[in-house]
Amino acid sequence: MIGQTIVRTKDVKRIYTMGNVTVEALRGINIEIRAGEYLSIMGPSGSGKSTFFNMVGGLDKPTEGKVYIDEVDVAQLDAYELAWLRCRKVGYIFQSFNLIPVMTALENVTLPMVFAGLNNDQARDKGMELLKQVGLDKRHSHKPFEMSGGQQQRVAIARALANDPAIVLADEPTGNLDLRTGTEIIEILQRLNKERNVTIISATHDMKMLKASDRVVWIRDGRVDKIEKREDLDIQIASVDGEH
Amino acid sequence: MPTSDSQLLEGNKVRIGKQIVLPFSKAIEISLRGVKVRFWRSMITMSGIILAIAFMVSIWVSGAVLDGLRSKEVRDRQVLSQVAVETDKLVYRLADGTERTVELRRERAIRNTVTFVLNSKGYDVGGADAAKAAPETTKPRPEAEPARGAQAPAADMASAAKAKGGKDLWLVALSLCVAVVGIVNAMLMSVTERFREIGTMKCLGALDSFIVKLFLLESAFLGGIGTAIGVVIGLLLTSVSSLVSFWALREMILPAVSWGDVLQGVSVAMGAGTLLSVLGTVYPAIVAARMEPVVAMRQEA
Ligand SMILES: Nc1ncnc2c1ncn2[C@@H]1O[C@H](COP(=O)(O)OP(=O)(O)OP(=O)(O)O)[C@@H](O)[C@H]1O
Ligand SMILES: [Mg+2]
Repeated sequence: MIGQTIVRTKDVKRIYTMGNVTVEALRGINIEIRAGEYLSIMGPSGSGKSTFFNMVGGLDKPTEGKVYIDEVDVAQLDAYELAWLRCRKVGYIFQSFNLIPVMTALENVTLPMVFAGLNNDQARDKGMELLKQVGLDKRHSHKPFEMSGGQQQRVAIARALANDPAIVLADEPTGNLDLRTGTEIIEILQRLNKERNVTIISATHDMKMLKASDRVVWIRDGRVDKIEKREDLDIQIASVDGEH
Repeated sequence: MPTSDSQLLEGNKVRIGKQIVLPFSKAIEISLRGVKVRFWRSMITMSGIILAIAFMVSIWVSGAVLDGLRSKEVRDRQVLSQVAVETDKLVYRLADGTERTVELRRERAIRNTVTFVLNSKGYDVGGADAAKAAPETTKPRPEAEPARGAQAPAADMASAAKAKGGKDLWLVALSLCVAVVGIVNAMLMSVTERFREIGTMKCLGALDSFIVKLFLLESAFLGGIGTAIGVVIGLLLTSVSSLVSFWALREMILPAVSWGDVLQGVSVAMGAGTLLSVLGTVYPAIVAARMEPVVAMRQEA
């Protein structure tokens, strides 16, 4: 179910300056993302996917242009509001999982709930429920290094959902996983998108992602190259599958 | 809880305020876990403060031992000159009014040993002759005279102790400074090492103040543990060194030491050690808190 605009960017530019070298990572991106959408961002390495992604997640601010989340300009938010946004509005999934190594799976999942002010009991129950949804409730007391990459990423997905965010941002969530585990992760994301109506924005090189997406945004050299709807994608996917 | 879309991001600070009240106990829990996981490595980080505190405690406590011995010497001299002395017995009148009788020869021997040992170690407590004169006289002396006799060396001792104490204080301060610099350095390294963890926490909604709290609590626990270890080492060192220096007086050391002094020294050391390790972490903690959450996204490990 696709609803109102939840993320909107207007002429977003991001210029990195290192000494006297400047890199224009984004050169003006205009995009509208709707609530409940599964959006994939595709593009060659260095095209600016991660950079764009950080803007949308309120992790970085554009050099020029605006990013609106729920029609609020992210650049206008103060530290508390940004922390609030990151805590409750957006869930993050990283290529390298980024679980806190000293914490168990359950503790990792409940950490954002702690930041949101839930008490221990509530957090534990909800954390177990989320772990169950990703099929890891039996491993709640395991530390990250005791789990496989795919399992870690599933814990990370559960953690991203901890505070029922409206948006889940996933930067190459399958980048460190093999084909089969990657497919599992994509299936989970797709299911969450359908069942919980979470907006999923995912940067990827992974063609398997396309099948799950409602729309695919192709980025090249910091610009939107093309935007394709799922309907237009089917032929391509068929040909991609054919290549295997 | 406000989680539905329409309620979000209306800039309502009251609601936002609710989110940031993180139970302090949770911060303690998380930082204690950090302490547990990195314990042995952290103790190496803390080795500077452990040694500096051990040094500080041993200076302080050996000072207390010396003071105890000295004041016993002075006290004895006064007692001996004030109490009626029988031919071979000495009657002590203790502070609570009870009287104790000691064999004079033994008492004199001990007293002379104190004076001799202290003198031979370079702690000037006056000649043994002056002290010897007092009990030899059988008739009670007027009170003023021995008091003066006791005062002069006492004043000398005080100024000598002050000069020596000043030098020691410098050394203690210097070693503590070195320890703090070591902590700042090690903590900065630990911050760069944990950048991904910190960035992730910030992505999950941790405020800067939470990160600062985490680091400061962790270093308070570590500093406390490190200081306690330092105190124990310092006490052991002092016991050994006092026994070696004052072997002749070994039976007198324990009763002579003022335990109040020792306790004071230990608590000052505990406070100073913990405080300094927290202070040394303030800057690294701020560096950590300022870290951009984007770093969590970077792919390179
Ligand atoms: N922190 C930074 N400082 C300087 N330049 C940066 C920084 N981050 C990214 N860039 C540059 O911006 C450009 C876009 O980088 P970005 O990480 O967004 O690419 P990407 O599409 O995510 O690539 P990949 O698929 O390899 O992850 C690159 O040229 C990169 O070198
Ligand atoms: Mg990237």
